[in-house]
Amino acid sequence: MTDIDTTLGPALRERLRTEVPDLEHLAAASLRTGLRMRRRRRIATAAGGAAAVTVIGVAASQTGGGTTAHDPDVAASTTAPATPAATVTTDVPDVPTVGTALPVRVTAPGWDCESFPVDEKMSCQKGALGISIVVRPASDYDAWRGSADKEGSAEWTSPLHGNYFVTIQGGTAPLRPAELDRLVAGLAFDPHWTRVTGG
Amino acid sequence: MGVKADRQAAEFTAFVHATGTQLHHAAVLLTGDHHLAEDLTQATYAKVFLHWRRVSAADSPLAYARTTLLNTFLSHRRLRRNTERPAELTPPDAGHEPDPGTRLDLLAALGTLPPLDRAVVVLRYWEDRSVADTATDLGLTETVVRTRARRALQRLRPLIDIPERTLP
Repeated sequence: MTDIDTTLGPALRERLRTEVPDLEHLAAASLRTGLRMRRRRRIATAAGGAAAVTVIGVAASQTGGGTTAHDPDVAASTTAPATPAATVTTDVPDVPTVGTALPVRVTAPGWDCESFPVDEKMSCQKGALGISIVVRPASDYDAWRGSADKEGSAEWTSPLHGNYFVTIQGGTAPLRPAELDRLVAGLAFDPHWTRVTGG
Repeated sequence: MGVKADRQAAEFTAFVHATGTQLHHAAVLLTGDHHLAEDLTQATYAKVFLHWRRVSAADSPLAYARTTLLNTFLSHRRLRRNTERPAELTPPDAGHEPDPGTRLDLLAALGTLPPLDRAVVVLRYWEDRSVADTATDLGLTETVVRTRARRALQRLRPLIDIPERTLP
């Protein structure tokens, strides 16, 4: 029997017989990337937990009218749930990290973003489109604006916002002007950037 | 790294050595390109390491890695990190109609299939998985797997010459 459904498997195996991966390199590179992903997740989770503590604390103080100050039991029960989230380190399910610790948020419709605070950038996708939003210190602003190479590499450079500015770096293809305008119009900036250190 | 982390790293490295060739070959068939396959395999193992404690305790860590490879291929046409973004995991010409009568290399012929059909072919004919297992791995019904496999073979048949020595 020579039909393709019986010969395809052996043919595929024969075709790949000489394809030998570098397993040492593969293991080392995967381990490095995996460790980096764990580190990012740990930082993002800790930042998310800290943000949750802050939000809950602010909400409690505003809505409770001072209840937490008068009733220790309420105060304890209000803040306790945030603690496990802040201490989870590894092997946790995927959690959205949009906006954590980066001072810019994307509200433009259709864009799905993931933050990497330790890398000071956000990766965003909309269908087949992809861009990165990079947060940069204000001290680099003049050098950035004065360099054709640097500014030319970005699709858009923001004005200064407090101690930072951002650039939009394109993916494999530049955004259409109208799409870029919509994206820029949908950016929301915090007044100040607290840089994540370490990692 | 601590002692526990060192042990994890050693276990993981041994796992990559034991399974890396099989996964890399599957990645080559899926992507049709040696370098894209390396990117895909590496991204897969990095995800496996992220959950290594759970994966290593599973009945079949290899099955977990294989599913991760397929999901990564099907859902991440490009890696999300900007520094790694240029690595398209699917050849740009995937799914195009070749000229009638043209004979292609096996990898190039596979590249003419839509990604999901390619995944079906890899599982059914490379991994020798059953229709039921393929359906489970890809989250499809068995009917869909049969239909896609039949369609893929029909499409491949005129494109490839199977060498005589591979005949059973």
